[in-house]
Amino acid sequence: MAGRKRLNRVLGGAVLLWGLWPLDALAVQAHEGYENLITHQLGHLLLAAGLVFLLVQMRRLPTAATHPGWRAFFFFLVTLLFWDLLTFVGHWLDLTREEGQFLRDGDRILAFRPRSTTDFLFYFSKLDHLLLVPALVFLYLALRHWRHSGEEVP
Amino acid sequence: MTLPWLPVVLVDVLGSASALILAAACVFSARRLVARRPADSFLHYLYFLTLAIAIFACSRSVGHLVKQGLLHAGLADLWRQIAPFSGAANTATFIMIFGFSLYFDRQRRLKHEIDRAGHDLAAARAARAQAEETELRLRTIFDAMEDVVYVVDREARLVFCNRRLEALLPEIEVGHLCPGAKDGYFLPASTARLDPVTIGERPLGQELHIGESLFSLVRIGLFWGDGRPVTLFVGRDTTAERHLEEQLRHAQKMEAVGTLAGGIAHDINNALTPIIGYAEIGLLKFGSDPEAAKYFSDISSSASRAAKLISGILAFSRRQVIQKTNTDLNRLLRSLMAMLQNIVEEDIELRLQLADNLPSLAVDQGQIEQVLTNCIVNARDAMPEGGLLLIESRTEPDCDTLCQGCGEVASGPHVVLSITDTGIGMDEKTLTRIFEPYFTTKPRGKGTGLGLAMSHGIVHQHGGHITFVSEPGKGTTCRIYLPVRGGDERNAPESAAAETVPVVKEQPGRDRLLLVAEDNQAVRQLVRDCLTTYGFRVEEAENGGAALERFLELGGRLDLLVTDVIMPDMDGRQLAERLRRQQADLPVLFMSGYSGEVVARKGVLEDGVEFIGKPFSPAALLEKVERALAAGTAPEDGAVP
Repeated sequence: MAGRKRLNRVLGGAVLLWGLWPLDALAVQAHEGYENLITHQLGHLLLAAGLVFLLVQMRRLPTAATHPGWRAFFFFLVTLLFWDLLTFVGHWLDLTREEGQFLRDGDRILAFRPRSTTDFLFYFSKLDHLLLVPALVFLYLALRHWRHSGEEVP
Repeated sequence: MTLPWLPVVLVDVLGSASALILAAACVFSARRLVARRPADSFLHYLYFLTLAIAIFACSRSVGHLVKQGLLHAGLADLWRQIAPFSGAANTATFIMIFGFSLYFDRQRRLKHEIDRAGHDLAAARAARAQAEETELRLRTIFDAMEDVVYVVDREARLVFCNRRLEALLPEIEVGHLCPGAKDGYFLPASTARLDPVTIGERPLGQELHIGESLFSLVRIGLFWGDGRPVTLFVGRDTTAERHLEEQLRHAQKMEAVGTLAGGIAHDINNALTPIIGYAEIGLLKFGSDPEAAKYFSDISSSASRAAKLISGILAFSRRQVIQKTNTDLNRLLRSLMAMLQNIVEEDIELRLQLADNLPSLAVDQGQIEQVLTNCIVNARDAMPEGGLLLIESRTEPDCDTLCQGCGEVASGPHVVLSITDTGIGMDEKTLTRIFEPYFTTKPRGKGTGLGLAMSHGIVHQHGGHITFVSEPGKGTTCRIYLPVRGGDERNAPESAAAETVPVVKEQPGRDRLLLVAEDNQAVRQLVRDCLTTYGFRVEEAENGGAALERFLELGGRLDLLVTDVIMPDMDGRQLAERLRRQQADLPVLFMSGYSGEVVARKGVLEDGVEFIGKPFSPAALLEKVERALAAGTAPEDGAVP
């Protein structure tokens, strides 16, 4: 106990001296460069984690495989998860494309020249609504089933 | 190889628009789902999850549409400024969806717990409602019961009681220590100690007095709802039953006394008949000798007193022979007034208030006179310092009065004779005993205690009732209720007419032939001697068979049959019937020392039948014989009544 007290005194004294002779504090850190992308990608990962968690939890329900509502909700989760992974990949691929691969008219892109397999994946990632819209359709169907089943959500 | 960018733009624009529409549809559907079951917490969760996904879809779609719009409009620089905000918003929606996803299982479990709690609550409510209903039902039953029902714990505290007990003991409160508690049981102070009972035991027979009521208790040891041992008491009100039992005992006592009196009376009357008869014959034959006349007179008066005593006993036991005649009770009361003036002192004002149009009743005049005399003498004795003696008559068309003597209710039309005095009155205790034989409040030697008992018996024999209303110091009112029965009154002969039956005064016997059938040798001999003295020719027979033989020996013709009612082998009625088969117009005079009830069963008290009760004097016998002879012939059809 006596040693801890001594340590607290030493640390307290250091903080006091630090306060008496301050340098540039830089208390609020600036966010620049890739930080936005990284934050966004972390968001995608969290979304993926949430969807996987929902899938796992949902699969534990006794009626998950049989009730049409839960089946539709399962497809919604899976489709949205694919969409999430596709867009996640698409954001990384955005960084690796060269400007010369795009045919432009001013700021407008007219065409894209793929040079590798990942370029095709990049191109497909730009068509992500082909997954997002079906995912929302499945969600709507799930809600509709539950609404019309006349029972509580099983 | 070149891939066109137009499909990308088209899918982006159309997809974003579709996503917006679908997001709105999902939110709408989720809202409807929640509205269907607003109490379902999981549906609320699904609604918020859907809302988060819709916000994500809207955020992304709006961003993409703006992007395409700005690029198409050549405002790429503007888009570059907006893009970080759009991306950040999308990121926020991802985090939001992630957050919601974590609560999926928790919300499911919460919902199940709420549902289970709801079911438990509903079950508890249903059980409580059922319990309340059951309690209400049981309470209604217990409160409707005339029995007292209560439960007492081991600490003598009242746990439960029904309304009957609350009404009887308003100070009783549940939870409070019961008054008079001993050994952990509720015992009102007036009761005897009750022994404790163990669970399941059912001791019977204890009695509980609460106020004026008497309860027969049953106690049951049991466990109360909270598990503590208690004692359940159920008390049945037996007050009315006890009253009825007392009445029954009284009736049985009177029956027994009557039976005894009837039997004794018969034998004593048979014994008294020759005593009275021979005393009068002796007086008739040896009356010229003053000493002999005194002896015979003393014998006769002593025997007459004994006969009167027997008559009194028969009267209160309601076994006296009564012979009803149609009587105007107002006239009877007026005729009594002359006699009453002699027995009532001058300081007593005698007042008569008689109702007009009083119906004539078929009563035994002598008996009713006796009742009135008894009541008036009592009223007189209650006013040693003088006062008012009011005698009233009235008709009550719809009478409803409780008779104190028998507990019966006099109902229907009655003639009421009232005797009211302003004397010392009686307390309640005395009132309950006034009809008891030999009960008297008068000094020794002044009252026999038979007067009101006799009066009660006589009035009851007439189908009536007698009541007394009295308060100490405020006088007494005696009311005699005699029922008005149309049929009886019409059929009964007029007393006046009966008295006008021609009586043979001179040479009463005129050599008429009489047959006397009597099993009692002394009585038979007396009747023979009496009637022989009056000039009749008298033949004797000791029973019915001998009488039949004598009748045939006498040529099958008689002027009068004088027969005892009760004889061995063949009774008087049967004998008369057999003889009237031979001689249809044979007059018959029945005689008996039995009670009226026994004689009535033999059918010889009906109208038009001559009857004389033992003991009788020679003069009375002669009068009856003359009346029977004067009545002449038997009924036209020759049948014995």
